[in-house]
Amino acid sequence: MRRGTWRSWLPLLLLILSILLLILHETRALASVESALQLVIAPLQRGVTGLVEGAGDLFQTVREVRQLRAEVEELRQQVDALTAENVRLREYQAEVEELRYQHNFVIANPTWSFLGADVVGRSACLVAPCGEVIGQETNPYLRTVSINAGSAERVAVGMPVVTRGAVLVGRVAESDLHTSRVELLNDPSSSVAVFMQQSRATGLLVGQADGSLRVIYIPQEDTLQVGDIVLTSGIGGALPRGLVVGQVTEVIQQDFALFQEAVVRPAVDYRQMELVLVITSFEPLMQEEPTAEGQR
Amino acid sequence: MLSLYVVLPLLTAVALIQGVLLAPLTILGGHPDLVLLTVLIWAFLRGTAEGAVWAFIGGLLLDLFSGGPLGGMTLALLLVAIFVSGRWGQGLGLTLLQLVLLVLVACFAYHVLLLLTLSWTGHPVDWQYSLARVAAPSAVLNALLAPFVHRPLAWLERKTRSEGLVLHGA
Repeated sequence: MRRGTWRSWLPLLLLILSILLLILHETRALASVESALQLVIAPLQRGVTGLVEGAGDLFQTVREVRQLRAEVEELRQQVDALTAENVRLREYQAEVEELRYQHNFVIANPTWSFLGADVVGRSACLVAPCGEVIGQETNPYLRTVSINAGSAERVAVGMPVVTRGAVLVGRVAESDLHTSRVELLNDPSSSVAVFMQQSRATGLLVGQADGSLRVIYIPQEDTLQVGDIVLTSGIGGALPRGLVVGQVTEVIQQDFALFQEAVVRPAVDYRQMELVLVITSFEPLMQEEPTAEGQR
Repeated sequence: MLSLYVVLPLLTAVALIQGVLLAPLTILGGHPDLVLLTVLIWAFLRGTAEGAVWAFIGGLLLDLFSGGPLGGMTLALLLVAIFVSGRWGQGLGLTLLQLVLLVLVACFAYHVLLLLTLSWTGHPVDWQYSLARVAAPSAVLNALLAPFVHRPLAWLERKTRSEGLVLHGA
């Protein structure tokens, strides 16, 4: 009898508890608890990703070995070794290229401060072991990635995150002790003041629900060109000026509209990111170009 | 014996599979959602109380893997679990077609609830795009996947039927 009563109240209790969680999250009352839970969750995700990718590599290797055995049995071991070596070297080559981009960017901006980090689980890698991507955003309506640097590494909310040299990918939205969540430019919540390199038109780059990028609030009198490079304007001081965002692929101009818009292709594939740099300090732009500021 | 010591690691494993393997997958805009399917089918098989516990744990795990508001997915999952385990869901019976239809409706409702919580917590929501291009294909995809998830869960349900929900580890 008592068990029956308890069971009938349980769903209601859990419902109230989840609403309470939502409210406490919004009031930031649970920030420390969430941060502590991330300490447990992040290594777990990283471990499973490593396991999954390890298993994937194993299957691939087995397949390759079978093919080679059928074709040239006597050369199997040699081919295996060379294949593995080749894969490793390609990884090293990609990593060197990535680091070269980032190094050049750091050299080009001597007054800024940077912090290297990996996209959740792609290690950088003093705190966490070098690995692969450990998890993706589970909410299909948000676009974020996690990186393995947090408040302990001086990462704070709002800091810009770049990759492949000076390509802006987003801003830090949440910072836990050793992990941070980066809100990508194509998240619907993201908005960044930008200008076009050739036409010098200014606007506001916003993420779309379908994951694309669009620049809005571009004055009608500006002449836009497909292929124009989109850069951050630095207006507002939240971001450095001149970070690459993408390239204009389509101009949307309607005679009756107050502004024109531009569809932008991101400069990098956000799903393929490995290493990123968090810009922990920079010299903000204090003046210039009041138009986009006003629109924002 | 099916206790929380079994449910917790089981749902953690399912959530990790979801977060690591399935989250990047999209088929015509639809996202396969293993946690949602597991919770829905278990709620249907075992009733409201046990379904609510599974929904709460599964939702909380998804929230922790997500950058969204903590409690958002939990709340959405709880409500649909209560919905399918209640009189409305049970009234449908359980043939293969009915299971698919039930998951179709519940999955779409889950996405609507998810969007409502996002909207409520200040995230911009493009309703037209989200419902037509994400929620609807996800509902269809998960409804088609439901029979494959139902089979192992039905087996687990049969094996643990006499135990019911046990909150201690014994």
